This record gives sequence, structure tokens and C-alpha cells, in this order.
Amino acid sequence: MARRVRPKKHMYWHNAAKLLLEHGMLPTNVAKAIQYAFPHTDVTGRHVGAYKRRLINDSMLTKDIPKTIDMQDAYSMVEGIISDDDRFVYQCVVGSAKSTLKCFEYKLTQEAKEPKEDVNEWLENIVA
Amino acid sequence: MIKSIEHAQIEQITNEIHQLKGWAVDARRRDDDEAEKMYTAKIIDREVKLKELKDKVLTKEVKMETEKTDEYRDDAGGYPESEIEEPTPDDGLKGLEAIFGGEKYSGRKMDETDDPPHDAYSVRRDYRELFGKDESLETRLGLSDWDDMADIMNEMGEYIPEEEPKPIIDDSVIGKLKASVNVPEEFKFADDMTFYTMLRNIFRNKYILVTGPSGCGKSSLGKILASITNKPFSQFNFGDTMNPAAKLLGDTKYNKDDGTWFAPSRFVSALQDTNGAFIMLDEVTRDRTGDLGNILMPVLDGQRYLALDESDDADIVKLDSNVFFFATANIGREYLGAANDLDRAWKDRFTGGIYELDYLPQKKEQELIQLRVPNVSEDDARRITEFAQKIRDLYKAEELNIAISTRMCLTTAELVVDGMKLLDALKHTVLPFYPITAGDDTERVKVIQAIQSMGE
Repeated sequence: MARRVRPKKHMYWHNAAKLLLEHGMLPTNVAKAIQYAFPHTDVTGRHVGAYKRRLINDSMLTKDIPKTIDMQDAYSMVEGIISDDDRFVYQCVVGSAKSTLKCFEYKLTQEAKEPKEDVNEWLENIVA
Repeated sequence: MIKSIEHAQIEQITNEIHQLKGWAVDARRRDDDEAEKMYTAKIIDREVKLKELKDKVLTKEVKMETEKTDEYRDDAGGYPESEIEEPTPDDGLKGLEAIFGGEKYSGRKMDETDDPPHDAYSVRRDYRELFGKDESLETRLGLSDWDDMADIMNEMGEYIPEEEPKPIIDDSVIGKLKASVNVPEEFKFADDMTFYTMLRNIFRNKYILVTGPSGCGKSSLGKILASITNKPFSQFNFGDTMNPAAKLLGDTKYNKDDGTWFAPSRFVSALQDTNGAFIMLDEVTRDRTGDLGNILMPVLDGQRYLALDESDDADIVKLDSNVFFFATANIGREYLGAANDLDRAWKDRFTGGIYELDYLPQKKEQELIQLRVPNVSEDDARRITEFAQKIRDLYKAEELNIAISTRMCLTTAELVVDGMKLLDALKHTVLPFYPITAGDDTERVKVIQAIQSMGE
């Protein structure tokens, strides 16, 4: 009986991270390069570390690869590898992570002020 | 079991032979050679007969067995396919695990063409066949040694270790979106897959048309998608123009210093936005002239251009490659001036799909109201949405011509938050949509009755 294999998650930063890990970079430095390419990302060295373990477990990456590039190389390589769909998915991640979307900005205003504050201010202006 | 004639004869002859042998032994004891010879001849005769009979019985049995199996043959002479499923090699492995315990066989996979696993006895038998019987070796080796050899042989190739399944990585656009993007809480219009498909359509520049009743959230949906994708948002309402050409193309302006010049429209600027604008064409069915639709045809199809006038050397506005169109339409009997359906050619332009939105289910609508009017109480939000559902049921039953929209629910909630009583707020918001006409069974009376039935 064939074992059912679930598809594994593939996120917008995985391609870039894999490339740098293949060049022996440490997860912390890989995360820095990803943060350089995706400034609003919340990916940290721990995320990259977990991804690295997954790659090793899946035999898609070998352990203890010697480092062959420096940070400057990493920055330029990451810029080069990001595809249009990765960039689009990143935009969507940032967009959907906003606590309140642009179209509901009034909600932020309402949350910031007490409900009566607006009315009092408005009434004071009328009386004055 | 009933004996056949042959079996009875065999039994009889066997008894006779046994008797004759006894008599022959007696004759030998008496030294009666003649009698012994006679009995011996009779024994030989009986034995020949016995052999013939046995052969006959054997042939008959084989024949019967063959006939028996022939019963199962189909008309074509073949055997019909069994309904019992053939065991797979893995089933065999499970059986072995059940008999001998799981440890020995776990992690191994039986190749379909391979023999069963080696054990101590089979290894010793194979050794004898290959090299002959070696008493000294077999005395020296115990059963456990042969068992170890069997293990080694099994590992050497008779059994192959199970390969780890190759990881399947979903790196498609929708796969990446699903893995990375959370569905925002404001998106209550449809299931998650619709959300991801809409994002995919935006990425692939497949335009979307959303239809549905007024106030159900079509425009809000467009704004949410534009906000998520972080595209510059421009909205153009098809119902608010007296001059369609000027709205989409631009108009001539004059001042005394510069004279007359052509000012391109906001629409033209949006088309050329290098960041790839998100253009919402709102209420496209409200354009009764049809001019807006005709002007937009080459913009929405593969030509992707807008001609600013009709001359041969007209200025052409080329669309930025990432411009995206999101159109909304009211299709239904209650919309004055709206067409009952859209032109087929117009629909064809929206290759991302036509999404038919309906009003939200009560629970989701209540959540949305509480989200967008945070100071409304849960109870008020619930009562407003339950009233809306009641009116929508009357609308579906064709007892009313207008349904309550989500927008009307939000307006009511805002009034309640600002201090109006719930029933008054409902009357204030809803009743103007139902005309004052004479009679006791008018739409307005039905709505008032529905409001009053809510109690205080």
C-alpha cells in the first residue's frame, strides 16, 4: 500500500534560503540576506534553521557544507534569484498581515479614541 | 464418501493377495513347492490386476479434478476474474510481521519479483543443493549461525530497504500563497480557496468581475484585494458620468494664457502607472449608453491599448503590463437603469472569472458588523442581522422587491452606537426603501410588521 505523501509548504523565501544554504551560509546570515531582499519579512534565523533541518531530512541538502560566499555575494545572489511570484506572494503577506487594511482605516481611528471624544470635540467647536 | 467399483475391487484384490501370501508361507513351511508356486503365480496375477486398477482409479481422479475446475471456466474457456483482491507484496510483509513480530521486517520492502525471505532452514537447504552435504560443516554450525547467514543474505539484495518517499513540494503560485498568506479577517465573502484564487488572478493579470446585490460587499472586496496586493488603487464608477468619453479619455481645457489643451483623464494616468494599478470599474451595469463598455473593449482584451480619439494618427495609451481590472455589477430586477445581464463579449474579457456574491450568512454578517462598528453590542449586531435575514427571506419569496443590504445593517449599527434606539434606527434606515402606498398589505407594512415583531 503506497504511503500518502503530503505536499510540503513552499514559501516565498525558500528558494533564496536554499541557494544560500547550499553555499554553506549560516541560517542567521541567510535570514539577514532575506531581510535585505524582503524588508518587512518576519523570517528569522530560527525559521531558516528549521527549513535547513527539513532540507537535510529530505536529503535535499548535505550537512556541513563549507562556506563559499560572503555576505555581499549573498545579498546580490538573493536579489537575482527572487522570482516575480515570490515577490508578489511577499507583497500579499505584508498586505494581509496589516492589523487593519487600508480600506478600514477608520477602525484604527475609532480604536485610538474614546467613542465620546469626537462628539465632545465637535460640540465644543459648535458652542465656541 | 461413497466408494467406487474400482475402489471395492482394489480392496478385494488386496485382501486376496494378503490371503494368498499367507497360504504361500504355509506351503513353504510344509515344503509343498507345487502349492507355493501356484500361490505365488496367483499373487503375481493379482498384483498386476491391482496395479491396473490403481492406474485406472488415478486417471479417473485426475479427470474428475479437471472436470471440477472446468465448472469455473466461462464461455470463452478462460477463468473469470476473481472478486477477491490479489494480496500485494506489502500485504505479505504485514503477514510476516504479524507472525514473526514487526521488528525483523519493518523498514523493508518486498520487491514484487523477489522470493520470500531466507531463514536458517532454507539457507542450509540451498547450501546442500549448491555444494553437497557437508556433515562436518553442518555439525559445526548451529541453527543460529544459519539464521545469521539468512539475515545477511536478506540484507544483501533479496530485500531492498524501503526508499524514503520523495518530498512533494507545492511551489505553485496558489501553493505559495496558501503557505504564506493568511486570509484577512475582513474577507468573509467566500471560502479561503476563492481568496487565494482571486490573488492568483491578480498576479496573472486575469481580470475579475463580481456580481451581486447592492451593498453585499463587492466594492469592499475590491478594496481589500487592492490593499493586500499593495497596488495603487483607482476606482471609476460607471453610474456617475454624463460624458463617458471625457471620464475615460480626458477633456479639453482652456485658460487665457495657455489657450486650449487636452487634459488626459485620471483613468489614463492609472493605465500608465508603472507600479501596476488596481483599477476598480464599479457598477458597470449602470452605464445605460453602453459607451463606456465600448471604449473599454480594446483595453480589456489582448490589444491592451486606449485610443484617445478616432483619427488615424490618434494618440495611443499603452497599458502598463501589471494593470489589473476588477469590475462590479448589479444584476437583478430591482436596479433601476441596470441591465438584467451583461454583454457576452464584456463577460469574456474577465478571464479570471465571474464571481457571484450573495449577502453574507447571518453569523458572518454579525462578525463583520462588530468588526467595522467596534462599539456596537453583540446583541444589537445579532438582532440587526437577524432582521436583515428575515427581510431577505421575504425578498426571495417575492413578497418584497428590495432586500436589506449589509451596508444598511452597518448604517443601522452606527446609528445605534450614536444613541438611537435599535427599532428607530431600523425604521430610519430601511423604510425609505419601501414606497408609501395605500393598502394594508403593502411592502412597507410588511417591513414595519417585521420591525415591530422584534420587540423592544
